[in-house]
Amino acid sequence: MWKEYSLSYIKRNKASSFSIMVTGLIATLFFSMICCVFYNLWRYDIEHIIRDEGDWQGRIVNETGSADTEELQQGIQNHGNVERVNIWEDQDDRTVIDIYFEDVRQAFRDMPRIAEQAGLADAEVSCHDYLLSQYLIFNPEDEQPPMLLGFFILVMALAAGSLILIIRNAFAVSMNSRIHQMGILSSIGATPRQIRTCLLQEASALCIIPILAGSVGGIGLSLGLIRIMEWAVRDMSARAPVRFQYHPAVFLITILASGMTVFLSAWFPARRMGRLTPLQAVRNESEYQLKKRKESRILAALFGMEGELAGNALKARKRALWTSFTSLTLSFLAFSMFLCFITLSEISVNYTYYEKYKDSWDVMVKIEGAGNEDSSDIMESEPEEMLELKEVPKPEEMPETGEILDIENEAKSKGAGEIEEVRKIEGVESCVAYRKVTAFTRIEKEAFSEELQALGGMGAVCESAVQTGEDAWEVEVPLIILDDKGFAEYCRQIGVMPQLDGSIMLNRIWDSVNSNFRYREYIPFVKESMQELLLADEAKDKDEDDARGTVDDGRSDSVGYGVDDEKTSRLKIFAHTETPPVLREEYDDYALVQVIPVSLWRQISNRIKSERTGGEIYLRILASDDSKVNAIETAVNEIFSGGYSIETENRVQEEITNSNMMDAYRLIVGGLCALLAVIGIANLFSNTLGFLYQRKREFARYLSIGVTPGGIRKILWIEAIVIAGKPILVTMPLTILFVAFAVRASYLDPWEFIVAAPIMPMLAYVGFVFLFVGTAYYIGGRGLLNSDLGEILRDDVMA
Amino acid sequence: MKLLECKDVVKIYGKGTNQVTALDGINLAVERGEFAAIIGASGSGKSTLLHILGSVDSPTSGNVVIDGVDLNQLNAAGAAIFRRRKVGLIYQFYNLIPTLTVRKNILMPMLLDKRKPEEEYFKQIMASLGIEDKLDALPHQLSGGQQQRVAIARALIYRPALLLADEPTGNLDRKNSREIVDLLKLSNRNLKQTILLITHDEKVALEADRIITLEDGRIIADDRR
Repeated sequence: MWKEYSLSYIKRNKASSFSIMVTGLIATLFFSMICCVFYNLWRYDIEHIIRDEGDWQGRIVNETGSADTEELQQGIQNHGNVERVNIWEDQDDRTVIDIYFEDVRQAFRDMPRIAEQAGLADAEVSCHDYLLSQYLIFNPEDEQPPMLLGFFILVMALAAGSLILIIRNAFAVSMNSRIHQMGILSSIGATPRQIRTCLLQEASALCIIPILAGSVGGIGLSLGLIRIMEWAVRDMSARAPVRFQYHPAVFLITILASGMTVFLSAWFPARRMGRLTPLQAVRNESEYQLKKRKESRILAALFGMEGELAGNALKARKRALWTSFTSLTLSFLAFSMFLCFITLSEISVNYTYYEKYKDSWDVMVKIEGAGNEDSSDIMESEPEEMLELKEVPKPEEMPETGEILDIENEAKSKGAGEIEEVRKIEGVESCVAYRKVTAFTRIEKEAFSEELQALGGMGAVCESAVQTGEDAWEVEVPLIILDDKGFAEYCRQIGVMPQLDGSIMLNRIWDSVNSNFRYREYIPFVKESMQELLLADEAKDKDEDDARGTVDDGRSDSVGYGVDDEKTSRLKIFAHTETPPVLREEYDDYALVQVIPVSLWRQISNRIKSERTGGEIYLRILASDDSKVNAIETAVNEIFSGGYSIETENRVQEEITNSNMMDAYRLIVGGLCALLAVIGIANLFSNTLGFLYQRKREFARYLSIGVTPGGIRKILWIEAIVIAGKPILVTMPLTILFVAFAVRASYLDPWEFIVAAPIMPMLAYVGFVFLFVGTAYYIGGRGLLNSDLGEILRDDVMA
Repeated sequence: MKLLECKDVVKIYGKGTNQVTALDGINLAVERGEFAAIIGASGSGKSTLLHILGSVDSPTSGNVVIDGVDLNQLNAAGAAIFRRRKVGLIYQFYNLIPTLTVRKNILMPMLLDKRKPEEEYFKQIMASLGIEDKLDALPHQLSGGQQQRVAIARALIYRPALLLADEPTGNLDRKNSREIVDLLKLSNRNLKQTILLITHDEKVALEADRIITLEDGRIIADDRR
């Protein structure tokens, strides 16, 4: 039958065969490209994580050093699922054991068991949640696992689903147009099996080359796309280049999925044809019918009898139109969700970065390792005479920063460090050098502010705070060590008299009860009467602390935190404020930040170690205007060119780079979305047109009972509106639900999203859908009305 | 009183060597209330004539006037409205709309005109056709005979000037054929309905008052009985 019928059919119906081949090629091309791009982005993410955090799957950090390392290693190695372990020491001299599993899917199950067997505390073991989540292995105890990968998989699946439906649709239209021929074949003795085989052979012959070519072409397209992406983000600093990668499994998936789609697309219609009786097929009595009585009330009410006819015709062809409807819905869903996701990301980034630090910095300099040498003169600039001012002046009497600095004699400034040179660069309005060191303190319950106590204390606002004993809490104390001039500037900013022997307490804590993280409100952390903090180098557990005993120096507002020894230090607090220094810094929500001058740091640094910070010094520079930022950055690099390892960031450049990156991102994502849109619309176009040509008899019948050509046009337009409008009506609530969920999850003000909502691109998409469906109906309808319907009516087999 | 008059109607299909003359100078007049049958062999032109009379096709030359309306003067919309109001068409394969119930199929010509049927007349037709209990069914749920009854009801609902039936019994068994012909006779007698019946079955034709015989597009006999 292949030689006698199929081959000649393919040759004689070149247009139809060509259409199927092109459809198969385009669909496979994009399917292959989407799979390949997704694979590359996925691999890039994994490499990025491994580069930043390592490739370990489970990790044990032996904090106390209590366990014997060799014994521990032996015990872990003996666990059935452990493939290998890697032991090393971190900068705090702690033993770190990285574990790699045979079956990584069991990592979250096995790590607690390993810890239990080794007699380790739960806090000492962890799984690499982020890395494992890339393999869709999530922590069962994590209530909010990373969803980004899942979201991308969903979008890719929607896109791939749309492409697969296109192939299926191309076959469905072709097969439906051949029912009559198959009936003739059947009537002269072709068995259903022969008919099925014949159609499958045709499908294979038409699609093998397009599928292979499309799969290979898709790899080329994705390579091009990745090159474009790489070019778009070329200015981004601290970024590893995207390297094109390919895996044979991706090729296999593409080929198999496309092949299966073609097979099933041919199989289902072929099976349906095989079931028709010869008479049915010859008469083409497979005309779409309603199985049970249905009424199109809304369309009838809106458009009268024509509305009812259109509605019922659509209902009768519901299954046939399912492909079109699904592909368009999927593509619009992916399109709208992608756009909303990007909009939400942009709003979020603005909140967490650009808006927040907009006026905090122009140039940031990170000087590696300089802070380890406390004798380093980088931060030398202290006007020690400030200490001689005993009274805090009123705000209007406050000397200008310059005046404060002028208090220092000129001879001093001659010996000042590089920071002074930076301050003298033209265009530098302000420059602060600072370091970050973390210490700990313990705060008695009574010392908490009244506002905090009214909320229920630390436990109410911060579930993860460490309570040591019934009445005291261990709190992290980030020390922000400013150079003395910077410190004086800060004092002036908050309206207090500078003192170089004490600390300014950033006395605030996030009121997590009455505000969310997006719109934080702060309340005072401790009572303003607190004049001193006892700092410890590192957090102490309760047992250790109990062994030492707590200090009670007789003042209820002071903090007892171990006896004064070489690892603790008393910090005098001379001012409380809720205004942080103007730095590009984010502080922990429940930490008690202390801002101190470098002069004071020198006195306590032997007790508070700074290893955790790596000893970096940061310079925050504000320029008088944006045009000078690049020159300042260059000058700073020159100043530090000898003997220092520095990294500089430039806000203006960063904003330009970010803007370029976002533009490129929009271009790429927009391109992908447009692609999805084209896929859905093209599918609908071919489907609609194909079906219209098969419906001549239906319209001839309408004409025979007196429906006017205008009535026929009305029916067609109603159908077009319904076909184009339905996917949009279905998608809109889903998109709104998604956005509502995302807005709620990210604690954004809904109005902010509404203002920035991607309404125009979505309206454009809706417009395109209506335009293309309308065009398909216009072309199809014109063809119908111009054809000789009388001829169809004359046909004796008209059903 | 003449209801229908054809003058020198010619219908030619195709061009050049493929040209086929389906009707070759038909002159025919039908009186109001007449029941006429047109018979002829396959390809004699009887269906072509019926389609021209039903305004679904137009003659190459010649005139057709039905109930005072010259069909040549009608545009596509006018022809549709003419079909809806003046002519009832019955086909061999019923031509019911598969997505509408029997009731809506029957009422369709009136609904297209946004008119309501006379309840009494509607009941009378349903009763005489014996389909009162099938009104809510879909066409494919009915037998062939029942579907043809529905098609007749639809053709009659607008009280058309002319009922054109194209092989209405061609797809039915003997019993159903008999019943359909009886129904047509009944409507002719009781409702004074003018009927033009096309058939190749001489037994069916013999039920009519007048038999017109076509051959190669020409009327070769016109017998009144």
